[in-house]
Formats: sequence, structure tokens, C-alpha cells
Amino acid sequence: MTESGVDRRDFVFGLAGAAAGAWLATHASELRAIAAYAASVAPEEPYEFFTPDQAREFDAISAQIVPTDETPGAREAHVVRFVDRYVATVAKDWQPGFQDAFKRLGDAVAEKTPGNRSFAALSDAEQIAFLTAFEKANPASFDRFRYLTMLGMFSDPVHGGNFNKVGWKLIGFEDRYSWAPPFGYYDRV
Amino acid sequence: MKTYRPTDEVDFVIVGSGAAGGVMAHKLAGSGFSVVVLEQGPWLTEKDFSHDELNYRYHPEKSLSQTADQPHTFRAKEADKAEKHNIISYGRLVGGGTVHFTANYWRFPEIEFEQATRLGVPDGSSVADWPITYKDLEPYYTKVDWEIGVSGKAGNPFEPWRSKGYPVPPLPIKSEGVLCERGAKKLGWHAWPAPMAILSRPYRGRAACVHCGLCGGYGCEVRAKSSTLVAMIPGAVATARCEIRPHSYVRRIEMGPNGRVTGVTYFDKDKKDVFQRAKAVVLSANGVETPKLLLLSATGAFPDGLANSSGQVGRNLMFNGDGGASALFDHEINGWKGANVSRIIWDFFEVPRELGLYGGGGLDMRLDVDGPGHGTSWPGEPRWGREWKKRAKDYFNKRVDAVAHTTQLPVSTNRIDLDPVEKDAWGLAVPRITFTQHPQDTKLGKWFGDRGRELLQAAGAAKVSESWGGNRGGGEHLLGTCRMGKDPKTSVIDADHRAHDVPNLFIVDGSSFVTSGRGQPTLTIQALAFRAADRIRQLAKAGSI
Repeated sequence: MTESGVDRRDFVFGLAGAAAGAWLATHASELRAIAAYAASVAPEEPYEFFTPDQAREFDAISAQIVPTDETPGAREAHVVRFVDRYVATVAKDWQPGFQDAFKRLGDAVAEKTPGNRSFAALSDAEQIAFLTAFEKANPASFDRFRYLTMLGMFSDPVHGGNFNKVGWKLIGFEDRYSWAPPFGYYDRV
Repeated sequence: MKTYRPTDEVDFVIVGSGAAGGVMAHKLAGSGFSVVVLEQGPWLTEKDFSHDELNYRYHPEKSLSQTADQPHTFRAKEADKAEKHNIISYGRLVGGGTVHFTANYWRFPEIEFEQATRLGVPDGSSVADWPITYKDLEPYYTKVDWEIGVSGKAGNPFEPWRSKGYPVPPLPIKSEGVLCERGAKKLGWHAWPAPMAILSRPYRGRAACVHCGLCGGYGCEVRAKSSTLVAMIPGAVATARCEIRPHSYVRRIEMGPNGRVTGVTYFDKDKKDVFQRAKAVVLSANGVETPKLLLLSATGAFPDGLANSSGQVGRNLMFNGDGGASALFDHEINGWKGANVSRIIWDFFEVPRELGLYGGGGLDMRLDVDGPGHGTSWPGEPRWGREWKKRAKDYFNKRVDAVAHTTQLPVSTNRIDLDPVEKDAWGLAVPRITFTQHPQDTKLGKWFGDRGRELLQAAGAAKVSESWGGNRGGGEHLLGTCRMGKDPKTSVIDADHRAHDVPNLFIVDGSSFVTSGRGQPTLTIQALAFRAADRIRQLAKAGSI
């Protein structure tokens, strides 16, 4: 199966790289709590899951996964805040794996730049080169970072990410939920 | 709504309210019988549904099945140890899987019912002829189209004969449909408007589809999707003879001393045991829950599970096979708008046998990603960073998948039984799934994957992925585990859906299938249910239940 050919299947059945579907299904009832939280959280509030260092690290990672350029990226989508709440509540099962991913990241950074474990401390070009290598060497850890970043980018803003629908704007998704033909280019009469 | 006391001996208890259970409730209550439907999940309405894929699609109470409370285990072979897994899903709510299904409504071709005779039986499979033919089922296919509400267009040259057209025209063609037609034309195949259980026009007091685009995995907020929740259950309740009892998880079918069922015991919302008396019991709990319940109901006379003198309860589990490929086109397709499928290709219901393949299937084109994509990418291209971001919109809007839905052969060792260790939150043994696809299905899925790739290329795709297929070991189609047949030694139920071993026990759902069909099973599950309700009514009126 190709990666893109099974996106939905992976998501639903938790096969291949992302065990997410399975996992989400068992925890989704707690998701409602996130909605209330997202509306109320102030930027200066402490994190629930991340240590300050981890928050900084994940901010840097997610900002490379969906960088800010002419258009908003992970930072503007409030991905770090989303993931913190998500992993603290609904995604508790992922905490050990996520911690492991951070450890692997730190080890790999230290190997590259002795005396430094911080990805965030690297320059932009170094971060990109490092993450490219990390994706190959630690695919499971990288996928965890990527998957959570994408959830924060594209999930309904009610959960605290996709702030101002910046993720949806990026891909041209509109939450109108009512459409009429033509739907796309090829069905224009 | 009419209600009954557990001590009232109702005519029928129906276990499950989904594709089959909803129909059975409607038809049996409509025939004058007193009916209690026991549904393990909640009774939701369109007001409870939303489009938030994170909060809803995976919401255990509101949509799919996998909850921490009711796990299942899986192993490939009997020699393996089964581990907790997540390979199947089904709806635990009133309306069952029809609430969140994608709603493809394909009739089985005539050959499906007489496959052993016409195509032979592949080694290692348990392919058999059905005890009924397409001709027996055709009037009930038509009843489903008209009573459930199916959009479509009669005249597909590859569809078996039909006595009547569709009640409402097809849903509008989408860009994927246009491309499907374009590719098919080039290849000499035939794309045809997809039959969908989603209303294209208002019908029987329900609204037409607003093309929101989120069908599979979601409950319909405008009641356009023809789930039994909106198309059957209200009519059943309106008879004032049918009680729908949600949060009622049946754990045992009870037997009297005379070899007859006396009712069922279930857990109510507070996990308290309740015994509901009934003159007869209909199991419509789905292809996994139905055999599980029979196995949980073993007695001295049936030590291997109720109605299981044949040893076939739980065996011959099938999911349907699949295959396909993905493509990027030059212009926007926006597959995320509108119902998932608008054109289908049925040219390959009978795959050329000289290719060494067995069975057949159909193809469609759809955007095969969930909701807003969650970072959809393309094989071999960056999955993150500036380059990915530049293309993210194209990956989402210009992407389409060709997906095939195919035969999967019945194999006796592919089965569900009771896990000897794992228990659910009610203390019941969980279903253990043992499954390895027949090698013939692997070949078939790969062949169809290649056809999907070919179709996308012919449609003018800018990029086409490698094909995939022949690796299906799970899903929502839960079929074959209490197969019907004439011989009580090799089947669980007869052609009237009556258990060979127990005269007042009926089984009507995907478990009744003898073979998997060539793709989408729900229409056939419901045609069987309409027919079974007719047969059961006749048997009851004749005093022979």
C-alpha cells in the first residue's frame, strides 16, 4: 500500500504508521473538554503536559513541519497549545511514546552538536537538515511529531488548534458543509 | 412509543437496530407483531451529529465502535496468540452502521448466488451456492430502493435485471465522476451513476442531500442519508407495537426445556441484568456480535454455542477485498464536497477466468482521505516543511483515488470465537478474530489495484501512485459467520433465516451471507431482511414458529 493511498484507512484502522484511529476512538469522549478549555486558556498559562523546554522544542519542531512564510504556519495555528492539552487529556496513552520521541530527539541533537540537546537552539538551516535526517533515522518518533502537528493544524478550531482556521485556509477547506455543483474544475458544465 | 415490561412475552425480540434490525423492526411491527428492539448503544438524532471529525468521527458513543470498553483480539493463524487489535468497526447506536456509512448501494450480480456451481470452489475456500437466487431476492432489492430511499439510475448494462427503477434520480456528478467517465470511456469500460442510499430529492418526508461532503464516519444532519435510524425506525415506532430500547446489551439467549428460545438476558444502562421474554428472537447484531452472542449462549444441549451443531457459527468471516491507486490531477477536484461517490464501474463483476482470478468487483473514484486531510501528502515528495506547504492545497484538492471493492473468499478457519482471556467492561468474553486472506483474494486485489491505476492514467492524471490491494483483513463489512444453507450440517440458518437447530430463533444480518458479494454489502443485508420479515410473517401466521 502506498502512503497516500491509505490515509483514511490508516486513520480509521490504526494500521501502518499511525495507530491514531484506534487510539482516538478509545479516548474521544474526553475531547469535549478540550473545547471548553480552548476558549478560556490565556497564553501565559502554564502547560499541562509539556515542560517549558519541551514546549520550546515542540514549538520549533512543529514550526519546521508547517513553517510560517507568506502564510501562517503551526505557530499561528496554536499547535503547541493544542498538543499540550491533547496529550495531557485525551492522548494520555501517547505520553510515554511522546516522551521517548523527545529523548531520541535530544540524543540525536547531542550527537550532532556535542553539549547541546536542544533542537530549538539550532539555526533554521541546521534544524531543517537535522529534521530531514531524523525523519529517516527515527521514523516513528518523527511521525508522532508530524501527526500531532497536523492534528493541531487541521482539526476543528474548537479544540484549540487551527486558530482562526489558518490550517483550513492553507488547504482551501471551507467549513460551509453545504455545497452545490459544480464542486470542482471537471464537473463545470 | 409503546413500551413493554420485561415480563411481557412479546412476539419478537430483535437484537440490534442497524441495517437489518431496523428493517426487521419496521416490517414485523408493521405486520401486527409486538416487538422489542434491544440496541446496545444510545438513541441519537440528527441534532446530536456534527462535522467535527476529531470530536465526532471517533466518538465512541456517537459513531464508530472501538471503545476501551468493548475491545476485540486478532491473530492471523490459530497457532498465534491473539492480541488486542483494532481491525473491525461497527455502529453501536440505534441505526447501527447505517448511521455513519458511506451509503454505496450495489446489488449483487446473479452469479454471486450460484458461484460454486458456475465458477467452482477454489482450494482452501468454502465457497458454496446460496440457498436463494437473485430472482428470489430481486423484489426485496426493489423494496429497499423504494422503502429505504436510494438514489440512482436504472439501465447499467452490468447490473442484473431489475423490476423497477429508483425512486429518486442519482446524486449530481462530481469532478471525480467526470474523470471516472473519461477514463472508462478511453478504456472501453462503462462508468455509471452510483446507486447511493442518500436522497438526491426530498422523499417520504426527508430532505435532499446538501453535499456537505462528510458521509463516511458521520451521522447525517439533514436526514438525507437513508439510515435505518431515519428511514425505518420511525415507522416501526409509529405502529405503536414496537419499543426501541437503547443501552441494552444482550449477553445471552435463553433456552427453555423444550429446545425453544424463551427470550434474552441483557445488561441495561446500569449494567443490571434484565430478562426480556419473547415468543421468538431475531439476531441482527452484525457479523461479529451475532456469532459472539450465540457462542456466549452455549447450553448443555449446545456445548459449542447455541444453534451451532454444524460448528459453523463464527466461521467463514469475510470483509470484502479491495485495491486501488491514487492520483493528482492538474485542476481542482474538491472531492471533500458532496457524497463520496458519484460514478461506479461494474465491468469486472466477472473477472476473466483465464487470468487465474476468482470472483470480481467494482470500482469507484473518490477522495479517500478523512475530513480536512490532516496533512495529506504524496509518495516520494516532502511531507513537511516549505515544499510540502506549497503543495498542501493541491494534495488535498487535486487528489483522487480509484478504489475497488471485491470478492473475498469464505475460508473455514477465518472466524470469530470467544477470546479465552480478554473480557469487556461487562465481564463478557471479547470476540477473537482469526483471519488470513485466501491467496486468491490477494491476487484479485492486486489485479483490481492495477485496474484502478490504469483508470486514473486514462483519465489524464498528472501523477499516479503505485497501486495497492489484496491486503484486506478488517473493516466494517462483517460477513458470513452464520451462513445460510440447505444442509444443517454445513450451515447455521435455512433460507428462511431460521436457525436449523432452534425453531424460534432467526438470524438476519451480514452473518447470513454465504459469499461476500463483489463490493458493497449493505443493500443485500437489507434485501435479506425485507425477505426474512416476509418469510417470518408467513411462518408465524401459519403457526409454524
